[in-house]
This record gives sequence, structure tokens and C-alpha cells, in this order.
Amino acid sequence: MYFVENKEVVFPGSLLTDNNLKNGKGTFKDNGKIFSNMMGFVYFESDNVYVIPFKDSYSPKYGDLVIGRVTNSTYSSWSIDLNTTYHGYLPTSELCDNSQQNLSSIINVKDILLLRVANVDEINRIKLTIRSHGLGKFNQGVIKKVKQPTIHFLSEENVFVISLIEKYLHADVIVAKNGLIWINSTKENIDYVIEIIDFIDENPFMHNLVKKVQSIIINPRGNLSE
Amino acid sequence: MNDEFLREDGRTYNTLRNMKLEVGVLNNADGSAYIECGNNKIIVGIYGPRELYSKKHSKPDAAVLRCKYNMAPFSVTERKRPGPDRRSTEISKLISEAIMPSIFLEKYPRASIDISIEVLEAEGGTRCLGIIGASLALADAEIPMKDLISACAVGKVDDHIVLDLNEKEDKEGQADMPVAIMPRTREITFLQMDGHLTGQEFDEALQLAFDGCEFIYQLQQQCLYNKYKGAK
Repeated sequence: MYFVENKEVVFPGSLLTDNNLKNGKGTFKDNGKIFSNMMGFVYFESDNVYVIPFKDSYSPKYGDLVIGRVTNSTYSSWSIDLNTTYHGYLPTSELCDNSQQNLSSIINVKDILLLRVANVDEINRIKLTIRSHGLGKFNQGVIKKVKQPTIHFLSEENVFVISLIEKYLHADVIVAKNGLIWINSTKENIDYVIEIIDFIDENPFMHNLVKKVQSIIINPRGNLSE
Repeated sequence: MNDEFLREDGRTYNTLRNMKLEVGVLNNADGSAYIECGNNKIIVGIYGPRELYSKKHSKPDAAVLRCKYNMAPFSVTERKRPGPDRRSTEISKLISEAIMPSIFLEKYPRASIDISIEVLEAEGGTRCLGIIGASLALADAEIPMKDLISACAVGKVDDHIVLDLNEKEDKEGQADMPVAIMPRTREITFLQMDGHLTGQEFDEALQLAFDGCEFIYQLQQQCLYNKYKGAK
């Protein structure tokens, strides 16, 4: 039996269902019944149930593309701030290929890196990797921080928006899963791309957002406010 | 007998003071809540979960809940000396213990969740309001919880069992008993008592506290729902 409707707002401790479903994110089982453990919208699927919270913070998963800042370096690894609850670590062995060069000349504290999540273990230690095509250190460009729904919008449903921006505004854009976007172009175009991203960030669930964004990319200096 | 008894401020035995709850009042904190109840004004901020670097204090398999209760110097009629004292240290400890059973701390190993409770104005019952506020702020910060925790005080004034004591009743009454519960499972997470109650009075008082807590629970849910409506 379902005690709430699909997509209804639930609170911590709300009884969702006593059907034998798999409890997904944001839910827990107690005495065979499924309860919500945070506030958000509940989604019922054929064999599982989950709750999507309003803020929806990012939790790293294997293979995610992330942008991070180096905060500390030790003998064996670099500690990297990923804009999440936990810091990630990048082992020095990732870079010791053949030449015995001074490692601090390659990666230093405060550097911004593009990395991939190599492993997340059971106590949430995030191992990162830099050994893959296109990963490495940023030497130019701007980093923009956005909320999670914007990342979802730009990376999953509407990837073509990024290619549109790249084509029409001659900008390089990398969307990392941890809520950071790297933009590189001329000063003027960067400002405009940031304006577009801010617009998406403010109304991530707006009706016909894709069309609206498309039109402001194709007609630069169109009115954002309309 | 109980129904006709009017208290000094005109309330009946089972009336709460006027209560106003609000969440998301602070921009820099991960979650926050503001409570007004009678002349009490309390603001609660949550930071975290964030990684705790001190290996001495962090737990490898769960998050640590740290709570700080602080009264502003202007919160009481005579100026309170700023800084921690015996009373606020004790209340910090018991608020964190009252809230701990509701949080899934094991989801955040090596991390810490910091709660800071600032009392701007006090008029009796700040520890219960601190618990209510901390629970709301945790829900606002979207930290996984088993249930919201709601709390209220009951006591004995002029031989009557009454709900939600104010400062005067607290000082002059015969007994004072703050209770915090998880309304879904009706588990008691915190109970203190000073003064004298007979066994029968205690049962009566506890039942009254449960009724009060359940009413506050409705207010808490309503408050969270209003935030969602504002967002839409």
C-alpha cells in the first residue's frame, strides 16, 4: 500500500509504503515499511522508491569527471578539495612514470585540476586519477560554481547546449559533476557564458528552459530578462 | 478541575505559547532555523557534514555530532557574562544526545556535523526549543534523519500539571520536566525532571508532554512545507 502519492513532498520520517520495494536514495527500512529520511519529492518506480531532496548535494561515484583544487601535498599523495563533504586524494604514483623530476614543479598547492574519480571506498575515501585523456592542470580560464540541478541539466538531458555555447560563443566549456564549470574564451564571451549559466542556475526547472537557453545563445545580447 | 485552572499569563493547562518557526534564515550555514516562542528567540545554524581532520576526535565509522549552545549577553534581564559556563556546557551535551538517535551518523564516516544554537532572548524552555530548532535545521541541511525530534516541557504549578512552562512558572513551580520524543515511533530521546511528582502525576505529565510534542511536530512539518512552497 502506498501512503503518499508519486512526486509528493515528504518529510524526514514520513511513511512511504509497506510494499516490498527496494529502498533507494533518501529512504530507509524499518519493520518492513519504507520511510523517507529527508525532505524532498518521493518517486515510486516499479521496483524501487527514492527521495530527491531540494538541494541535492553531490556524492562522488566511480568515473565522474570532477574539478578540484589542491589543498595539501604529502610524501605520497595530494589532497584535493572537491567542493563536497569529503576531500579526495591523488596518489603521487599517478605521475611517477619514468623521469625522476621534481614533483612539486608539476602539481602545487592551489592548482586547479581536472580529474576523474578512480574509486570511492566504504568509508568515503575518494581516490582520484589524472591518467586519462584530457585530464590535467588548468592554466587559464574561469571556474564557475553552480547548483546540482544545473549540472544535471547541462550534462545529462541537454548536452547539446554545451556544444551550442562552444560553437556560437567560441568558448571552451567543461562541466564537472561536482558543481563546477570551467570556461575559457575571450573576456567578453566568458562574461556572457556566465550570464547564461546564472540564468539556468536560477530557474533550473523552468518550463521550456532548453528553448529559452537556445535562443539566447544563438542571438547574443538578447534579453535575458524577457 | 484542571480545565478551569487559568495560569498567570492566561493560558489553560494544555496551551503552548505562541510559536513561530522558520527555516533557511542563514545564507552561510548549510541549514538553519529560527524559533520564536513566547518571548524566546533562538537561532540555530548547522555546518556539515564536513570532514574532520583531527584524528583524535573523528570516528572512522561514523560522523561526530558537536553541539554548542550559547546565550547572548542581552538574552536575560541581567546581563549574562559572555562565554561558555557550566549551564551552557551541560545543555550543549544534552541537546546533542537528544538529537543523536535520529540522525544516520554512520552515513558520514570521518565527518563532523556542527550545530550552533544562539539564544537571543530567553524566557524559560530554551533547551526544548533548542532541540526543536536543531532538528528543523538538520532537516533544512538535508542530513538523513529517522524522524524530526520535537520537545516540550511539562511541570507542576499550584498543584496542577501544566504544559510549556515560562520562566516564572519554572522558578516558582513545584516541578519541571522537559521531554523530547521521536513522534513517529514515540521513543523518548531525552527526559529530565526536577521537583516532586507522584507516580500518577508523572504519568499524567508525560501524556501531556506527548500531546504537546505531537502538536509541535505538526508545526515543524508545516514550517518545512512552507519553505518548499516559497521555493516554488
